[in-house]
Amino acid sequence: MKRTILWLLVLLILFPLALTGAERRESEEIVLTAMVRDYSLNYDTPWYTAAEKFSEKYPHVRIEFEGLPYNDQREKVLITVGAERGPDIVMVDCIWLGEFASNNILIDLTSRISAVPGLRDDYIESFQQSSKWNGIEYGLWLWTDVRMLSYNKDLFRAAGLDPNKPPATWAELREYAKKLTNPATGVWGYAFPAFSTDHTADRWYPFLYMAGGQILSDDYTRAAFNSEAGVQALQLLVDLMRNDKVSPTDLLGISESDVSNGFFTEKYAMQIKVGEFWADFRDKGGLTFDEYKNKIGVAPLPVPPGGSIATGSGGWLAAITRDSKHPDLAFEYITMVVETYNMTEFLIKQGAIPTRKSMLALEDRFLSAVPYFNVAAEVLPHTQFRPPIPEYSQISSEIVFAIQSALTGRAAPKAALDLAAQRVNAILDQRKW
Amino acid sequence: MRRRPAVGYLYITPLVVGVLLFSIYPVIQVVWMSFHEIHLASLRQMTWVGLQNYAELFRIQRPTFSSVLTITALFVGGSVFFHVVIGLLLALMLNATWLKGRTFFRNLYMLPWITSGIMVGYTWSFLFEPRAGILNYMLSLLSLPAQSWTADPTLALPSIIIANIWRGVPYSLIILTGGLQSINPELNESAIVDGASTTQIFRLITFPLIKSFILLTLILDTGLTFHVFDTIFSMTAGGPMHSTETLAVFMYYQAFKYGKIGLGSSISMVLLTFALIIAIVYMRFFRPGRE
Repeated sequence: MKRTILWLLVLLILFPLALTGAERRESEEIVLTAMVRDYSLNYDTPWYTAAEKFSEKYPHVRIEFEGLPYNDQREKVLITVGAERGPDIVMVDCIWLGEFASNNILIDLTSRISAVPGLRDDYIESFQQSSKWNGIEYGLWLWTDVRMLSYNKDLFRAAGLDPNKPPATWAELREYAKKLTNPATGVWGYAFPAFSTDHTADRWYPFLYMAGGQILSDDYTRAAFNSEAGVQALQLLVDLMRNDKVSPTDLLGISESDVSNGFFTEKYAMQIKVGEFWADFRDKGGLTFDEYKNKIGVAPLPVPPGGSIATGSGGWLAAITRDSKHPDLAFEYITMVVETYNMTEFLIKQGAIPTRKSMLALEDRFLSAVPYFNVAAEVLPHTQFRPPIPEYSQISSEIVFAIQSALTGRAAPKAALDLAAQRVNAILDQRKW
Repeated sequence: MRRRPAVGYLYITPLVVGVLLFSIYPVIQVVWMSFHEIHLASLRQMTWVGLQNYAELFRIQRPTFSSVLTITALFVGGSVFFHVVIGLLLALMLNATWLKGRTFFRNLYMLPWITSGIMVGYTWSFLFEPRAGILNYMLSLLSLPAQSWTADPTLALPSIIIANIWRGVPYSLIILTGGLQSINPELNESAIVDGASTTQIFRLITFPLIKSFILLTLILDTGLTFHVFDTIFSMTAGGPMHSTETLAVFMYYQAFKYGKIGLGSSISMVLLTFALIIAIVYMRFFRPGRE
């Protein structure tokens, strides 16, 4: 009996010790967490391939990923970091940078980027600049996109237009759209988003830029979109919808994805689009690369008289949150993610556009898989970004309201934009940065 | 006076704890948050601002708070009215003893209620589609012009109300069916023997006896309709030109899109207050036996 009690005591002493040992071993393992967009986890590249390479160097570091839809990405990052339980690594939409940076959600990466030879210089200048907030670098660009004109060559041929000559000017855009619009077949000449989301403003900006305008002043403190250029750009949309009747009024009631579905089903002959339709026609339409190029054309957006080529870009950066316990490891990992050899495969599969010069140099490789990569590369140097300030969502809402007011005929373009500018200035007057 | 056994309180303790934890505490928390300036990007930094968030509601220019309230009133009023009227008519119809397959029909009518709000929104967006949608096709059969429905600022609100009526009718149907089934059939049979007409039976027997069920439907449905978000968001996102921005959508934009959590909390309190006031009004003017 005594021996049994003795054994029990020994076990009672040894068991917690064994547990402590296990805990110690576990504590040696470091876990980095990453909140990234759901679609970026569809392939092995870029996250998993980089993680594999990273674990070769750091076998005791494990990286856990969480894939999130667009809206959840922003909200979950903000809420978890707000609760001091944020992940180490996050994907940040370039328009969220100011909100995240000014609230200290992200850490300063400037010195770390400087320490990696050639990294900063390999980024296209405009993208490198747009990874900054108040002169501090907060992220590394992952990939981008550009707004271009997609058009249906079959419908061009049916309307007697040359499928290899897309409209190059605003006047040609209107003229072609009129020829392409056919009520008998239900085809509309030109489609653009006009729903109550940022897509509406975002697809209007390239026309504003082309006419020489900008959204806000250079220091982001005053509205600038109500300039003469803005009025011209909005008048173009009004002309297309209300005067020429080549764009349906119901665009105000359908989401951006439904507009794209309409182009896919040949309801619209031309459309302003982020990137191109290759993935849709390949996956849903069963078209081969050559069949797609024969059916769909992609061109830079038409320019106004005296205007110059311009477009808009969005895209994602990889950044590190203030909650990261291992920011150096996290940074080393994201530098592996953005490396050309690691990222290129993903960009080709996704049809996304690189932001690094070393990747753009691989044009032949991209062209073999991304049909109109050359057009994207042509317009990329002329791209502009939406203001990365915390108030952008509210500003966008005011601009969308102005666009919808003009498109419904409730206000003239100038009056609508002036009123929106007043509101935007009032919003900016309350800024805390 | 009889003493209540302590064991009774023990039995209800889990429920009381649950209510305190999951209903009362969140409400108190939201009230507390509504008196603070809180941003989504800095949740831990709460600054006491007193009633400023409530005052801010009246300073917002687009959409104005009064327009949001008007849209909410029309949405809730239109939805609840038709939920109860159509629900009552269907309940009466499905209560008819001569009708075969009543259970089947009752289950069939429940389908919209068990469908998610987002699915309802997408389905109705398709029905409202200007060219391929069935509604414009029906108008064309009547030689009426096609409408832009959700794209037209004047038609967008009626469009989302129609979709929400479709979704909410089964809820009142099921409660009112319960009410009708609680009526002793002998009452109706005696009235028929006495020569009462169908209208008289409904007015003098059925209606007074299901009045408490109608009251229950009105209170619960009003509360639920105030909070409808997913259907509206998937159909119109509150547009065009804020024409379908109800309090629930307004709150989402302010709290999550613009990150003003304190302001969003004050909108929540307004929502709760309206739902409570309307419930009290219903109970005061519509309580059984008032006449």
